[in-house]
Amino acid sequence: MKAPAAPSDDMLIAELKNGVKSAFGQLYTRYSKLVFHRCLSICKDRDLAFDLSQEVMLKAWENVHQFRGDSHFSTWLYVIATRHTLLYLSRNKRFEMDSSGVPDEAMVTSDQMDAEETNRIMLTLIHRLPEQERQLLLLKYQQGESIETLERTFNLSASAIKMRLKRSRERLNALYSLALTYGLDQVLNIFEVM
Amino acid sequence: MEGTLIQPHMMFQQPRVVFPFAGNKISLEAFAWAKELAAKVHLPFYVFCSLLPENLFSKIHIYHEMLEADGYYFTHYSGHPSEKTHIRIKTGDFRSNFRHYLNRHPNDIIVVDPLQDFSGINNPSGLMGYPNGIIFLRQLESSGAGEDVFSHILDTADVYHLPPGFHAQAHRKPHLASLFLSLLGRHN
Repeated sequence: MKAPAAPSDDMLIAELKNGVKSAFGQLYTRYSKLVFHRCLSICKDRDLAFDLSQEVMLKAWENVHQFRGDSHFSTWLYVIATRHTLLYLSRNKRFEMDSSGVPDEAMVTSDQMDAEETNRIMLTLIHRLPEQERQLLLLKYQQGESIETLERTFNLSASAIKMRLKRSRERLNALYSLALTYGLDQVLNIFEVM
Repeated sequence: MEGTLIQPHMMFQQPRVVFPFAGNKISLEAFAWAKELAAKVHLPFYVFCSLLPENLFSKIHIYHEMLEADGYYFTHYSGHPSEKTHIRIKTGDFRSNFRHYLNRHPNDIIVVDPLQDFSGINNPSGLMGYPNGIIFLRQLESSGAGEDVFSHILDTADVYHLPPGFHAQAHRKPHLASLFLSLLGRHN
């Protein structure tokens, strides 16, 4: 016997707009991880990202009547998550010092571990990218080379360099989110079959 | 004796409902019940977790489990989406870290999912030395929630260090909050 098909986003959103709260729960299950990883990709702190992702889902609940269906629900959430996280970071400087002015040792340790892990995953992914894309990213973000230097190295205009960097960053962020969600090995396996 | 000597400053700590999570597969029903309890008594809801350093890479999975459990909660219980889950992930042995936590937070109410492996402290004798209110869940319903299910789970749970008449009062929903407030003032 076939399992009943999961309700579509449109169905759940319509129910939610009609006040059916369980629909929110199903959307929460479906998309909260995506929101979490979007928040994490910006703030780089898991505890904070977890907290922010709950706030983003609450915002979605409160504003679902404004969702007109012009985009995917996930895209709408993605935008809310991005704005909410950036707004939070602009209002807080929690990574610098705690309230006493002394660095919080546990937080620093945790953040350092997170940063090291992030770097490890990022570098692994970068080294699987095509040669030119890999060189461009490493020269810019590891060596700190200027756009002018990259123009000369790759014989491209500044705007072309910036566009390639932007695309590469987006691709890398997407791969990073996949690695966090499904595991780095799974993502590397995908590279193998591509 | 593994219990704690209550220090004066501990009397005034804001109490919380705490759900210990050992990092393995979470019981969605137990999590949701504990969160619903917190919502009913207007206390913050915390998940306590501890991971060994070699398992820290799986920290991300803890957050995933929590988000999934929150989704289950919002699907099956009537709690408002503003009900947050707070999580504290410590590094190190779960058993010793949790004992340390209990010593430091004697006012917190601990909801224990007996199916989780807490290395010997998911049974009454492992926690009785602490002054915390303890609720050992026994019969969990997998078919959703609602007031009846919430009450049934409470009825079948083993509770310790809670006031006499707890079960009787807990079913009278409007009085549940005041019951807990009186309970939480027991050290004063």
